[in-house]
Amino acid sequence: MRITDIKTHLPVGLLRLTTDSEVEGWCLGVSEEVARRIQTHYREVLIGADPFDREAIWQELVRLDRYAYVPHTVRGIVDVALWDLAGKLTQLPVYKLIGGFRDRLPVYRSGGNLEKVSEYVEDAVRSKVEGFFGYKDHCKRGPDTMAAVARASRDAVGADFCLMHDAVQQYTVPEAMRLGRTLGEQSYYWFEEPLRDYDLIGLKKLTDALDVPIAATEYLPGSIYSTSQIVGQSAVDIVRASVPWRGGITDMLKIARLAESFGMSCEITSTGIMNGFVHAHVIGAIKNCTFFEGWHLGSLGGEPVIENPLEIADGHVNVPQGPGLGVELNWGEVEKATEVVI
Amino acid sequence: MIIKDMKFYIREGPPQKRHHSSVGRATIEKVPPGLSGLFTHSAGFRDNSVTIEDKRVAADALCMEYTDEEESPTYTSMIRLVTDGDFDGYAHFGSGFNATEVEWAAKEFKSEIVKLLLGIDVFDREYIFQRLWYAQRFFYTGRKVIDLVDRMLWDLASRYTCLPIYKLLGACRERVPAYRNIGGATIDDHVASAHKVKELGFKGCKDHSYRGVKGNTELAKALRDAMGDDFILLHDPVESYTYTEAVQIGRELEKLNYMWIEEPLQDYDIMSLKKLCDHLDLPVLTLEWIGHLGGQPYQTAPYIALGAADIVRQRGVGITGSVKQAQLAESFGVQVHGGDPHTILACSNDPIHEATGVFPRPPDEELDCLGTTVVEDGWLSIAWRPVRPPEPDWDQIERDSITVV
Repeated sequence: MRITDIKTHLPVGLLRLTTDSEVEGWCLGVSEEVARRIQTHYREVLIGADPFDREAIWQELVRLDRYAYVPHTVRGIVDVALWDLAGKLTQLPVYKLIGGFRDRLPVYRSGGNLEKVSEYVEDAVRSKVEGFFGYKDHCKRGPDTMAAVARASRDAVGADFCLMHDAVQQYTVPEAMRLGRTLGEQSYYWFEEPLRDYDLIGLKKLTDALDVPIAATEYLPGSIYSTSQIVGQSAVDIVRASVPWRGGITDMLKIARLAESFGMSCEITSTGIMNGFVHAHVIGAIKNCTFFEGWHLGSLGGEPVIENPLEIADGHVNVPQGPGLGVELNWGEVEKATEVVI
Repeated sequence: MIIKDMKFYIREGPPQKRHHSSVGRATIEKVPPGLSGLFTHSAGFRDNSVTIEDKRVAADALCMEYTDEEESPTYTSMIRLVTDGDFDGYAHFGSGFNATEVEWAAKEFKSEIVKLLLGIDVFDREYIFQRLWYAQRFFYTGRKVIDLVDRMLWDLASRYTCLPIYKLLGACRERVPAYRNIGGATIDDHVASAHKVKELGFKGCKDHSYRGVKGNTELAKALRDAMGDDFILLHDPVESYTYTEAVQIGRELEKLNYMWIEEPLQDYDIMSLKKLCDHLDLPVLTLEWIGHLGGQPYQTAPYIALGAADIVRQRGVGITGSVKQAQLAESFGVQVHGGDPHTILACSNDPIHEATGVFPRPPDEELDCLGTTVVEDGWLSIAWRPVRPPEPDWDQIERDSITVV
C-alpha cells in the first residue's frame, strides 16, 4: 500500500491523500497557504510512503519543520488524513483503531466575550437549561468584572454545574492570582490561559498557589517537546491540546499520554478543523479529557459538503462510527465549491 | 465485536519429570569492608585468597536440585475471550503438574476479571486498560492481568485488520540493531563470550558483572580492547554499587565509550539516581525492577521530570502501556529500552534490542499477519505476510480438554 498523490480542493479546503487502492484519506479545513506548503515541503516524504508508517512520517515531518520553518498546522493536517486513511483501510473508526475509551462525549458550552455581567449569567443559565454539562466564558473585561461574573454566575447556576473561565492570555501574574482566588472560591472547574503560554515561571506560581486548576498550552508551539517541560515542572494542572494548532492526532495522543503519566487531564479544544470529527475521535480514545467543547446545540457544521454533520443533543456528542474519521462527503457539493485543485 | 464470555480450556500436556534447581545461580554474599554496599552476588568480588570459580563452586555446594524419578502428567490452560464476531481473543494462560490447581487458577482469574470485560467492544482497548489498571489496585495483581488481556486484544485487532501490531500503531522503522548478553566466570570467559556474540552478527554486548569498580574496570578495558572501537558495550551491575562507586565506574566507562550503565543503584534510590544522572556524561538506565511491579507509565513520569533517569527501562503494561511509557519518555527526549518488538518498531526512541538469541526468518509460507520476531545478522525485525492465521478450532479444543472453565 503506497500513497500515490496529494491533492487539495480549494477554496473548499479538502485535502486528499490518494493511494494505489481505492481508498483515500481526507482532511477538511485546509487553506491555500497550507496546501502549498504541503506540496513544497512534504510531497517528497509522502509520495510512495506506506500510510501505516505513520510514526516514521511524523518523525520526518517534525524534522523537516525545523528546516523549512513550517507551522505545526501543516503537519497536523497531513497527520489527520493519514489517520483517516488508516481507519478506512482497516475498516475501523479512528478511535477504535487507537483503542476506544468511550462512544459518547459530554459537552460544555463555550460562550463569547460579552458586555455585561448579567449577559454572562444569562448565557451560563441558558447553557444549563439546554443540557450542557458546563459553561466557559471568554470574558476579556478585566479581572474585577470577571470576579463579579464568577460570583453572579455561580449564584445563578447552583453548585453542580461546571463553570470555566478562559482568559486567552490577558492577565498579569498579580491579576491572575487575585482573580484565581475568587474562581477557587466559586469552585470553577478550571482557569484557562491566564498568562502567555510561554510564561513557565508565572504559570508555575499560579499553579503552586491557587486551588482552581490552571489550564494552558493550547497555543504553545513545540508539540510534546514543549508540553513536557511545562508538565515536568508542574507549571499547569491541566494541559490543552488541539488539531491543527498543536499538530495532528498523533501529537494530541502523545500530549494526552504525557499528561496522563503525570496524573493530569488533557482537555481537548474542539474547535479547529473538520467540524468536530477529529476531536471527537481523540476524546473517544483517551480517559483524561472531561468534555467536548461546543458552541451551540445542533449541528457542528460543514454542510452541505459534509453529509453527516455531528450534532450536540442532550448535552452529548456521539463519536462517529464510520470507518476512518467517518466523514461522508457530498461530491457534488465538493465539486461546486472547488475552483482549483493543487 | 463484543466480549460475551471468558473460557479456559485445560488440556493434558506431555508428561515430564518435575525438576527444580538453583545450581548455577549465584547466592548473595558479604563483601569486604570499604567495597560496595554490604552484599553482592557470590560470583562478584575477587580477593586474593579465593577465585571466582572457587566462589561459584562454594555457592553451588549450597544450591539444591530436585528431580522426580518418574514422569508426571502435565496440564496447560488456554484463555479465550469469546466474542459475538468472527474473531476471539486467546492466549496461553498457565500450566502445572496438578490439574486441580491449574483449574483453580483459571477459576480465580475468571471470577475476578470476567465481570470487567463482559459487554465491552474488543476495540475499546483504552477503556479496558484503564478499567484493569484501576482493578489491579484492589486485586493486587500487578501488571500481569493487563499484560495478558491487552496483548490478546491487540492480537485480535491484528488478525481482524490483517496487519501486524507495529503497523497498526504506526510503524516508525523496519529494523533496529540488536545486542546480546555475555557471561562467564573470568574476564577471559567474558571476552570469549563477546567474540562469539560478535561472530553471530550482534552489534554489541552487555555484561552482568559484580566485580566492583576495580574488577569491572579491568573487564571493561579487556572488552573494549578485544572488541574494537565500533562494538557497542553495555554494563549492567544489577544494583551492586554505592553512589560513590557508581561515579567511579561511570568515569571509567565514559573513557571506554560505553553506551550506558544499567541499574547502577537501587531503583528506589531516586535521590542518588538524580545525582548520578546530573554527574555523569554516561547515560544511566533505570526502572527495570520497580517497573516490573506494574507502575508504568505513571511511575516513570516523576523519575524523568526529576532527572533521575537518562534512559528508562520499558516495563509497560501491555502494548498499550508500553506505548504510553515510550511516548512519555519521547516528549522529554529520553530513550527507552526493552520494549516489545512491535513497540520498538513503532517508537523512535527505543534504540537497540536486547536479543535472547538468533531467530532466523521463517519461510514465507509460515508467515502471517501477526508477524514473527526475527533476529538475524544483529538486527531485529518482524517478518509478516498479509495472511490471517486460521482461528482455533474451538470445538476440537473443547473435545480435547479435560475441563472447561
